[in-house]
Amino acid sequence: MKNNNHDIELIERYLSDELNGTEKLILDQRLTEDESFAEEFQRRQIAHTTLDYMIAKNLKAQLQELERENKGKVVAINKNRQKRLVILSLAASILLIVTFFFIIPQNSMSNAELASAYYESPDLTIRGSETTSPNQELLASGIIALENKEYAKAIATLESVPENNPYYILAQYYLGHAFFAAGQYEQATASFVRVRTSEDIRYQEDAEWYELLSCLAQEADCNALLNKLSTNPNHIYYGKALEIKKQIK
Amino acid sequence: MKPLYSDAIIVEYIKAGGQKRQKAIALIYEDQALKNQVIAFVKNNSGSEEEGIDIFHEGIIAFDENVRKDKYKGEGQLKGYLFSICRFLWLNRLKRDKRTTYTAETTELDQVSFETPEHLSLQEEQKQIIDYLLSQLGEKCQKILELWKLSYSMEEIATEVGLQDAGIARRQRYNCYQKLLETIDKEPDLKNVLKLNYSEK
Repeated sequence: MKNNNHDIELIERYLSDELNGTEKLILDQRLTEDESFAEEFQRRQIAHTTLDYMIAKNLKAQLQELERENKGKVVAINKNRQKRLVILSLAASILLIVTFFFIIPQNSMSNAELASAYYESPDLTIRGSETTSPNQELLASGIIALENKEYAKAIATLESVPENNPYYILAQYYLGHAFFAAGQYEQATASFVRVRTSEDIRYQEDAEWYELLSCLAQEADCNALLNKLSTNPNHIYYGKALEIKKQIK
Repeated sequence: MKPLYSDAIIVEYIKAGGQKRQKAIALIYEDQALKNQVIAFVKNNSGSEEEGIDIFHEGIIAFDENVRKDKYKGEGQLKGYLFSICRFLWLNRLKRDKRTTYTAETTELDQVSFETPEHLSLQEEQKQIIDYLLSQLGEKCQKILELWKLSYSMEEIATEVGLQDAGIARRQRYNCYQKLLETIDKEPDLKNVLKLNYSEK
């Protein structure tokens, strides 16, 4: 029996996991009763397995690439520094809570104050091996300077990471934070834009959020960016963007 | 500090496909604690660090596919589910390679059983055949079919591959798929070697 379009659609929908229970029963029956249907099923099943295999192979290559990138990129932060960060985080959290309860309800914050209230330090943990390659050295020194609040040094170091360095985007991300911490919001925006428009998706949403905060800190018109984040429930900063939108003057 | 990502968001991102799927995978990959647990399990059971990393990668691949195909129903924590997958894959590899058999102990992370994606069980000979099939397609067709299988819309495929519009992407997708089917037909022996099992889903 020749397979018609309906048969092909049934098979394709099965192979794309779109059939309901009844349709699966129909397919089971056709497979046992109709040889030509079973043959068509087999060739299309091979095609789908081929595509699944290709997807898995490509994903594996991506994971291996990430593994190579991360190998050694990241240096373990020592315990004292970790403790210090915990204390700083606690202090920042308390400050944030105080800000929320005492300042926000009065609706008296300027955009710059909102930016400051919502700004959180980036994760300064550099994971991985204790040794660094020449490519990582600049990044690691920049992050350490940032952590020590030596912003001018952090900026100079992170700015010197060249575009062909595999850690360039990460360096730009931290550079944005260094500029922000130094009160140079325009430059911070430029760095975060470079990260957002890069192909490294790991930092794009974070960069977009900090781009918004850098914009607010300049008391500029940030409505387009704020609307973008606050109307996208899938964005990881959607909730915070909504909060800011409610408070903005 | 960087925000935390809930299990629900990771699953949602994988199902959404595209850049979101990539982000979810990067987030899972960056879970150092889980990665270390998998590596420790493998090392404690006749494996090496490299094999532990490899199993962690394979676990992410299987998890990605199970989520995309709706086989992960959100039972238990994602971390536990992923650890179970890695554990299962490693025990299977030990069995396949006839290495020391591990007497399984259930851990708190070991929550669920899962279905092994067909392509993870393929033998070397079968993989070579599939590589041959793919090589007949050419890079552009491979990309189009990959994106299609990953549920990208025709508009997204057009953008990603650099085609003029969704209509052209649709036609190219059809042509590429036909080309794949024709390659399969041209090699009748392939069907025998690649004979896959039909199992009721």
